[in-house]
Amino acid sequence: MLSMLARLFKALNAETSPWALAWAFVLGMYMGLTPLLSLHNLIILFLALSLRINLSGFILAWLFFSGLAYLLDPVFDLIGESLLMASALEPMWVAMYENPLARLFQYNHTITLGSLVFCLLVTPIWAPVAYKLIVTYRSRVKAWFERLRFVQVIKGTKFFAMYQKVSGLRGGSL
Amino acid sequence: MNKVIRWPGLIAFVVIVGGLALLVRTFAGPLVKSGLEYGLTRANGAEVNIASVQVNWSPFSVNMEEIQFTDPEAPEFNRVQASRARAELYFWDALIGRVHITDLEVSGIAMGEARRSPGRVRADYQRESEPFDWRQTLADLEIEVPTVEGVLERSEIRTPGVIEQAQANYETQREIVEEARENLPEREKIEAYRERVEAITEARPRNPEELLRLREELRSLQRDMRQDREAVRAFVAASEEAVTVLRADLDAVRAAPSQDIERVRSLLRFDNDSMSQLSGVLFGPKVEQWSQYLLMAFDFIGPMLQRSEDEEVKPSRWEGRFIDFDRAQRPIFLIERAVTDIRLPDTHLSMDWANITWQHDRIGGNPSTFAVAASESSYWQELSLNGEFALSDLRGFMGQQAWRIRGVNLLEQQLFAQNDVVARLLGAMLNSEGQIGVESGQLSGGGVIAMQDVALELTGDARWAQILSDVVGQINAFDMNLNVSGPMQAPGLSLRSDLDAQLQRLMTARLSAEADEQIARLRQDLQQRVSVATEGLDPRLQSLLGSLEQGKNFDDVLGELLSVNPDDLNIGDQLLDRLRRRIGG
Repeated sequence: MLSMLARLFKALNAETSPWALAWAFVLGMYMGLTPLLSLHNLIILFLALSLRINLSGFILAWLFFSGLAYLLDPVFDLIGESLLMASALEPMWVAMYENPLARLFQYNHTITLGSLVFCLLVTPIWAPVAYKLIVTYRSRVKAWFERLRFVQVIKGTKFFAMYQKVSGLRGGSL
Repeated sequence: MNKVIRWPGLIAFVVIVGGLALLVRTFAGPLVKSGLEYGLTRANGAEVNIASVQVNWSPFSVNMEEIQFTDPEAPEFNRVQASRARAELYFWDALIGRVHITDLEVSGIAMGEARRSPGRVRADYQRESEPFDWRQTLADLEIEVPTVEGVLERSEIRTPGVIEQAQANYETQREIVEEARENLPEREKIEAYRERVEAITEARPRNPEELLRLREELRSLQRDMRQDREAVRAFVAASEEAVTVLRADLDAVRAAPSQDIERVRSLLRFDNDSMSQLSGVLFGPKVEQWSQYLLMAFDFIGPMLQRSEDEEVKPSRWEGRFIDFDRAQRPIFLIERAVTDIRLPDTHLSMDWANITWQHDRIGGNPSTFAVAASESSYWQELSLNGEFALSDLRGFMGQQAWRIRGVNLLEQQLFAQNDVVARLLGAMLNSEGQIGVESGQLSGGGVIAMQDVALELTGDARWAQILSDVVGQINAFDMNLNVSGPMQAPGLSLRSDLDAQLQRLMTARLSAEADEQIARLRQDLQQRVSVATEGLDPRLQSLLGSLEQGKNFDDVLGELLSVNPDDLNIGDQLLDRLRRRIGG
């Protein structure tokens, strides 16, 4: 875990593309907020592994959003139920019900559909926000952060030693 | 391209997912086997074993070998077992939980077979009803064979008591009569009354003074006669009562021996309650076994109904729920056609099914049907079993089945063996027909099992078993009325038969014949006592009758004498004439 956090910091501080990190956070959000054992998460996993996004960022985002999902499940259930019960969409749902692939995606499960739609709606916001946060961090927060006393203390800890080891191997710098 | 695609990651993903898919395909059989065993065990309430499962992908079908459903009520036995089952179904439907089997073949079906080792029963299994253990009732019957000595001891022979009572009654009555006799006037006194009345009435008063004197004398005489007549009447009443009592007692004494003998014979009968269950003990387990085959269709239906009841899921905001958009109205579970091959002792029977589902509304309301039709064979002359059932939102679960079996040759088989008592059916011809209906999951109905050309054999050390073994050979035919009721998953059986009455009659006759000699001795003894008693009482009755006659005679004479009215006395012949006319002479 410490190692993974160290790698995330390394990625944040290194030359990794901010978009690669931002998309890792977005895909992690999908994995975390939607029910894990869903077919669409196989696609998310495929994207996370096959595209050059930051895997540590993806995993940490996944863990973070998984915790958040416990709080948001009733909201997702409400969204999913509203969509599935909407009479205007009913013909589509009925048609999909006879499609085995759609059924495997569990489209008619309230939380699955609600969380997926929530993620799709939030993605256009969350991706640029994540990108902006990373850029801002690199330009402002990093310098301010390094001046903090407790950061100085951390630099003397085992975690920092590990971080430096990783950085040293990969040629990164703080 | 390389800036976007992470090739090692992509390859790793493909390898892992592909490997998993290959693993699933390779081990589909064991995976399906585990899943089926787990699910069926939950539904059955006890261990379900499948020896092997093989999945074929084109056309998609599942083959199973050696399927055993443990009987949760008797884990040493299988509720049902099949040697082989093959189901051809739609793959994509199966993937989304919709079971649409186009063709199902199940062979080697047998009921109540012993397992190699007892199956595990789930801790949460709850039996539907208390099972009726036919074998247990044999011990509970406590068939008591009465002995002549025992019967005589507790039969309360009443003849001696009746004789004693008669003698005591006679003594009481005799005292009363004797007491009344003491006040009875002597015959001479009565004669004296007559003479004096005659003297008065024959007198010829010549003047009024003499007439008045005679009248006064007659009145005085009649006062005395009235007093004596009261005593005579009291004596007559006492004598009449004594005669009535003595006659009744003598009748009772004469009837007592016959009544005693009748009572002894009635006590020599077998207990009605225990005998009324004997047919259940003898044939209950067999009928139960036959019924399992008869009710086999409901064993298939039961779990499906359970499944339909389990469908409702309580919604939860934290877990979400699946919303049903099944507007195409295709059933979730449907077996279009099934052929089941039932294994019977020495033969097989084929049962055809159609439209097995619990959603009959979704197949146009067509009911599920099942039928067995077997042509004449060496085992039976005629065999037909058919039925149908349907579950609809409007009418609920409804169904019925009927059977008709003619000329089944039952081969030699053991009926029961317990406590050294062994009963065997050496042979019989079985005919049966009946009908069972189902409504709201509850069975009701029954049928008749008629047994002809019956040959039974029973051996045992118990006294009742010896008697039963002597008479059981005389049973040639009997009927058993089978009643089925209770929940479909655990039907209750009850059996009534005229076999009980036949056995009771034969066993009682057998017992009675054994006791004839002792009963004859008892009868002779009682008759002797009665003879002695009646020899003493009969003369006493005659004596009483004589006294009664005498008393009545006195009463008549006194009545005649008192009928003379003193005022009728007159002067001269007129009085005499009148008196003569009055007394007739």
